[in-house]
Amino acid sequence: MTSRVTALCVGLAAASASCIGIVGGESQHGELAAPPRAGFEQVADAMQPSCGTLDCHGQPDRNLRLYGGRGLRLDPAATSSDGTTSPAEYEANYWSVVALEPELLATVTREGGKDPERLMLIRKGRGTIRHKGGALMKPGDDLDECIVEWLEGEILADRCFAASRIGVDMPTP
Amino acid sequence: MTARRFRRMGGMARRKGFAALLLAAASIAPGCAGIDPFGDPVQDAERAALGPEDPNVPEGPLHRPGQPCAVCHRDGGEDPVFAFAGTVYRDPVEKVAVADAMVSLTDAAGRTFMTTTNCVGNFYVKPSEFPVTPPVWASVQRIEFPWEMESPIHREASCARCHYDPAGPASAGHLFVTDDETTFASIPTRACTAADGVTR
Repeated sequence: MTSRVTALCVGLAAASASCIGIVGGESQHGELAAPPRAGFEQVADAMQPSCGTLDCHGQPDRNLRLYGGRGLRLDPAATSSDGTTSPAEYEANYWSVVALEPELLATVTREGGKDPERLMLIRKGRGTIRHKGGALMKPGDDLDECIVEWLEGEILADRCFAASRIGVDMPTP
Repeated sequence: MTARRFRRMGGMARRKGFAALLLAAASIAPGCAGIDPFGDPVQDAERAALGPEDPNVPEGPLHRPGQPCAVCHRDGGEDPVFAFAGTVYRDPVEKVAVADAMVSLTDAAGRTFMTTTNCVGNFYVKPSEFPVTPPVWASVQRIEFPWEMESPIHREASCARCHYDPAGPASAGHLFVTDDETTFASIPTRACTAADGVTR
C-alpha cells in the first residue's frame, strides 16, 4: 500500500513538473503572436470614445485599462482635458489589449483573425457576454471592423477614424 | 427524540438565530451617511469621503454642490435616484456657480432632455424624466454658445466623478460654461429663491 502511494505521488509529481515545464517554457521563453503594433494608434483612437472614457475603461483599476487624451492619463502631470494621446499612452494601450488573453490572442492571430469572438475583447464589446457597458459595437460597424481587421493584421484607417469620431460628433436627434 | 430530529431542531435554532442577527443588524444600519454592515465597502468609503452636510443648507436641490451626487442618489440609495446630476460653474479656474444654465443631454437614440441649473449651479435628471440609451452627449449653455462635452457619458451618473478639482490624470476639472475670460466676467450670479430649493 505504501509503495503504491509513493509511486502515485512520484507519478503525479513528474506529470505536474512536465506540465509546468511546457507552460512555463512557452510563456516565458516562446514568443506569442500578436496583432501588429504598427498602426495601433488608429485602433486605440477608435476605442477611446466607446471604451476608454473615464467612466469605463479609463480607470486605473480595470483589467483592460485604456489611456487617452480625453480620458485617463499616463503622465501624472497631464489632465483629462488635454486632448492629445501621447506615444507612451498608445504603447500602454497596446500592451493592455494584447495582454488580456495573450495565449488565445496568439491563436487567433496565428489563424489570421479567424473567429474573433473567441476573444473576450470582442465578446464584451459586442455584448454577447455580460458587459457592464453593454453592447458598444456590432459586426460590420466602424469600431467592430476596425478591431476585427486589426486582429487580421490590417488597419482600416477610414473605419477606425469614423469610430474615433463617435465621442466627438453628437448624434442627429 | 432521535438524534437526527435533535440535530434538525438545532439547525432550525441556528437559522433563527442567524435571522435574528440579520434583523438586528439591518435595524441599526444607518442611512447614506453611515456604514451599512451588509453594504459595499467601496460605496461606504465613497459616502464617508463626502463628509458631513453643511448645517446651513437643508438637504435638497441646493445641498452638496460639486460633489458626486449619485454616490447617495443611486438605485438602492436615497430618493430621488438620479440618472445624471452635477454642478455647473462659470469658468475653468474659479468655482463660481452658474444659475440658469441650460444642461442638454442627448442619448444614442437621439432623444434630448434639457434642464437648468439652480442658484448653486446644481442640476439633476431623474430616470423617469429621461430613460436613456447610452452613450449620452452633454452640453451646458449660459451664454450665446453651448460648451459641449468632448467625450460621451456611458454609465456614470455623477458629473463630479470625472469632473473634480484639480484637473489631473483622471479628471477634466469641474464643469464650466466658457473659458473665454472676456465673456465669463459678464455672467451674473443670483441669489437663491424659494423655487431653487423645491424638489421636482
